[in-house]
Amino acid sequence: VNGGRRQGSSDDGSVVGVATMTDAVGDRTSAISIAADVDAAFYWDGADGRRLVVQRCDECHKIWHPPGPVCPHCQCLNWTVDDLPLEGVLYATAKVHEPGSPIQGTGYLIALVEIADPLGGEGVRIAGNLRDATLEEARVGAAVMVCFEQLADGHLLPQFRLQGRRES
Amino acid sequence: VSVAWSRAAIVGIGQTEFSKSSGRSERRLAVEAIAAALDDAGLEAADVDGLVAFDADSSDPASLAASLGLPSLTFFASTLYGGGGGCATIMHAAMAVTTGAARVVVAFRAMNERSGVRYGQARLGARPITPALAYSAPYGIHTAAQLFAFNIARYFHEYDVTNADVAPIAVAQRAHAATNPTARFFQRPITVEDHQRSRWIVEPVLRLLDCCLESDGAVAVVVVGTEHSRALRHIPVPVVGAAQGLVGLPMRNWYRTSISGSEECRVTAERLWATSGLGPADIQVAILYDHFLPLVLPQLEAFGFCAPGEAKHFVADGGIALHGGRLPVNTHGGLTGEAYLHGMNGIAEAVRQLRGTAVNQAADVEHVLVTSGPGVPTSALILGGDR
Repeated sequence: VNGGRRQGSSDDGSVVGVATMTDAVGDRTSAISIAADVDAAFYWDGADGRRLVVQRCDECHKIWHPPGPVCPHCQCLNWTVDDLPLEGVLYATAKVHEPGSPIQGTGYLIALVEIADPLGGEGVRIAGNLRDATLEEARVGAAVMVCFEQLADGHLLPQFRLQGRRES
Repeated sequence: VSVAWSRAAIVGIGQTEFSKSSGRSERRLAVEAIAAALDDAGLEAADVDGLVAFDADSSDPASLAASLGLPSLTFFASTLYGGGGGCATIMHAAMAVTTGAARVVVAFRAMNERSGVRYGQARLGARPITPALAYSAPYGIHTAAQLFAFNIARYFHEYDVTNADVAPIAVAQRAHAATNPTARFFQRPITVEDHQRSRWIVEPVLRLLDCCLESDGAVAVVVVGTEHSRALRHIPVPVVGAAQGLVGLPMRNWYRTSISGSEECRVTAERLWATSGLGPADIQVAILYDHFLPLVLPQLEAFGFCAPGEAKHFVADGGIALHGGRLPVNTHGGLTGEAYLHGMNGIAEAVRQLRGTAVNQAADVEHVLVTSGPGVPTSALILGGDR
């Protein structure tokens, strides 16, 4: 599944793959790249398949995010990749003005989204951008769907859009 | 009844000027502040056998010992997590002199944070984006203002707070800075309207006048055992309480059950009050870490000065003002009014309040609470008591 990713490196040498991305908002920056360490490769591979995935503990069956080598609920080292629903609920949001971002520019919405555990356990929160929405529309509790933005080399980045909102 | 948390006291404070451009190296700023602090204490560099740095500082204990020509150290440490580690430098120093690990420990912070690398400017940093930043940086969540936005937004949402509720803090602190000649905003008070007209940094939580004042400068603090402290130049300021608290990831505290209330401050406060035998009623002045003014509100609650959600009323009713407030807060002007020095300048202000030498001196100060950065693993101090 890693075949499409270029090999990269990081300070601790644990990087197994790199996804590159050109600026999704405009062309104000050169390509960025995201390093995936060995504990998180499953997450970025899942995104490449238009899936939002999470680790589920083989012992206590709970899920967690961000990725890590061990279940933070029971310290079990054995886990299985599981799909999350491609929808969630806005938990917090804000609009970034100055000084903005070398990647996103200015005037973009950041969102922290609650994604339910499909098995009924406690869900997870995932951060991203809320696309094609105003701050006024981005109310806590609003229903959102997961979408994927294409990176320069074909890899995908999970993002969010209000439910029922078409891509502009 | 106060119990002896340590047998340590602060005996010297020193600082450089605070500016937009120091014109000299961070190492030199550190040396200048340390020299001033040792002179304030009546000690010499050769007396120093312990150094505590911030991990974020460009000077580590060894490099600074080399610059100062210190022949040897028997205690050296760096505190973690940036501005969360400010009070921890004094905690570590106090533990060292209490145990005998060292006799004279200097804690310091030196930074050209305005003229050099500014924390408030978004940078891509390492390429590729490291795994630790992979769930934030691609989305344009880089700076502390951007990273804390979710936490502040949740606090606002859960307690029916708006940015206008923060204005009284800005006005009070700028009033304190206006009469403090070392403050970068000396003689520049503001009104509620000034605050509410300042531009959004992150809407609807942070305006420009909610954000700390990126600065160049240095502050140093000298800690010795209480048995040595009384022979020195000033009335010693005992370290009667200190604690640390870590709850979750630094600056990305988005995953724990509640993200609105500065949980690391609550954990720190519990240990601080329990191990010092003191409580909120024993505190006359508080130096609360104000990198972003909205986060002063949950700190007032976490440390027990207000019930959850009540801090906006406490500040609106003048509770933090020097004149007439139940708890004067950031009497030097804070990080938004005096300078952003990772909170070390607030520790110096606490010492001045207890010596009775602050330019904005509060009345009858027996104990001062100092906090470090919320939103990252943090620390706190209680200074004062019997001397």
